[in-house]
Amino acid sequence: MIKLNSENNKNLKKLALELRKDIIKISYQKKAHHIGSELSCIDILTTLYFSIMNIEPSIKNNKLRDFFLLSKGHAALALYVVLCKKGFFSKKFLINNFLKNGGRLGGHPDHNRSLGIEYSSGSLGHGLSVGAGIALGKKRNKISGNVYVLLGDGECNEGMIWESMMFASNFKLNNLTAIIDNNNLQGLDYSENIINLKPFDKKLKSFGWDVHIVDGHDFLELKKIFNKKNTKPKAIIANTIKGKGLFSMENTINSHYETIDSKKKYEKFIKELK
Amino acid sequence: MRNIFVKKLIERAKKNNNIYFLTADLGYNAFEIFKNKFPDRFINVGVAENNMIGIAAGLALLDKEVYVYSIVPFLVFRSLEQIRNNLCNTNLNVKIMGGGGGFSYGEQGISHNTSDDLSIMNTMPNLKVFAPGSKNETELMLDIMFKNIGPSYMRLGKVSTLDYNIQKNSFKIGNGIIVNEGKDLIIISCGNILENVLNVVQNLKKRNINSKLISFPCIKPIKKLFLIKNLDKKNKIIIIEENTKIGGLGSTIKDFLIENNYNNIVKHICLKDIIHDKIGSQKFLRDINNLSVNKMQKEITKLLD
Repeated sequence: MIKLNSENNKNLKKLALELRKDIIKISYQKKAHHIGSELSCIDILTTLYFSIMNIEPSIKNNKLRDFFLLSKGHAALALYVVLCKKGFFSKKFLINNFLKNGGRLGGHPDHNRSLGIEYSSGSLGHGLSVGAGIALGKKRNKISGNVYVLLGDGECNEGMIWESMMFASNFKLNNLTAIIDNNNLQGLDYSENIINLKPFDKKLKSFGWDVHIVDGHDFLELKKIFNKKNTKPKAIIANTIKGKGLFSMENTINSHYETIDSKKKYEKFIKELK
Repeated sequence: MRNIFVKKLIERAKKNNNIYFLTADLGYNAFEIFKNKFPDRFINVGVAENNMIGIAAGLALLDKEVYVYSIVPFLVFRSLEQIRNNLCNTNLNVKIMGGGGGFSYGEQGISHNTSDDLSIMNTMPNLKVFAPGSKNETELMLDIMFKNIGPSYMRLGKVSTLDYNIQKNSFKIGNGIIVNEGKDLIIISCGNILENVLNVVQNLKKRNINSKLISFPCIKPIKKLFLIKNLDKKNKIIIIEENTKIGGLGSTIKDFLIENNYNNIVKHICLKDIIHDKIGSQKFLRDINNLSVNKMQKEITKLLD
């Protein structure tokens, strides 16, 4: 087994701040949107990639590795900055390829194993099925490694999510973890005003999952839940704040599509970041 | 065709542990032998086609060779985005095995029959599209599919009683098969309407009309070189398919003819772009859509007069 990259919580927090800065900077340079979605899940990704998952560029083709699937593909930049930090590609590569003509890093990620992107997403609802397929394959081959799939709460409006929920518990895929970035905001409104998922935990439990509710910005709590043994597939409802760390964007509907369109706004945001 | 597929898949699965078969709870009295022999590699995902394609993609990401089964419309139309995003755009080794196609499910109604699956599948990047028309063609196309890594679609209709002999070793993907040589006209076809087409060719022969029959059990890819070699610029060309006028084999052939300055007279005998909501046996539905032996024959002799 490859040794896990262990960082203490303080370091994870510091790292997440650095990655948040990257997200803001690159979003400003590229006039990118979905900033709120990326800030909402970056703490989860940081915890997974730097403290939980068995994944490094050197083992990107090893079937024993842990898999991460960003099912909510619109948070692509959060994944890119993490993969860049992990050493899958350089910062220069990221800048030269993200949202660029002929580039390889789109606004939604496309499958590219050599870049560490395990799967294509962008159309919501697909990731958990694919993750369940990988988890099933690992079980059948009796090989180690977990599969982590990050879902949006809005994404859980999709019927396919619930098909895969039923499948995973039926096939006892306890090597599969679904993390729901539960920021209670989606495209046009607060999630509870569109399709209210409550009682979300009860729904997931009734589908045969091992369900945990955590603060999605608390590294210690996240780590604890990720490391917890489970006999059923694990669902983590991570309560998050869309736009987290950027006060002007936190918990706003605008944070999904708003761009940083002026230098003044960028400088204000960078100062504000925490 | 389905039984031929199961038989050959079992042979293959005996030699290769990486073969997985997924069904969305269909295939009664067909796949039980596979299930009994390889219980770990037979996955019934339940009535959930979209999830099935996702599961297949996940397994293929771990280098499995995956076969997914349901009837044609539930795969092609319900799960089109899953097929496009999860299998074709990522070029994964998943084989989409569609039961039925065309009017195979006859009186079961419009939900079960398809006039357009070949057209839709033709537009998918990376996807190889197979529509065998006889027992021999099905066996050969399965062998070709087995050898080919990447996504494929196969329309598995009912196998016809009529067949012809194939030189198996000479077939290469991208080519058609010359079923019959003749100098009076060219007939091009695919899929299990082939049984009617073979009858038409035989009947015409009795009247001293000799047709060159080219069958395309693989309609994508079709190599330009094969068409240049086998289509002359003078003869009348009849294209026959149990599929809509838009986007199927006929479109591929007609595109070739136009782009390469062929001026042949062309007749496309196929399904009209209408709702096919009449109920009846495959034979009946073919007849009312001008795909019966008699009606096709009339159409062709009219064209030759």
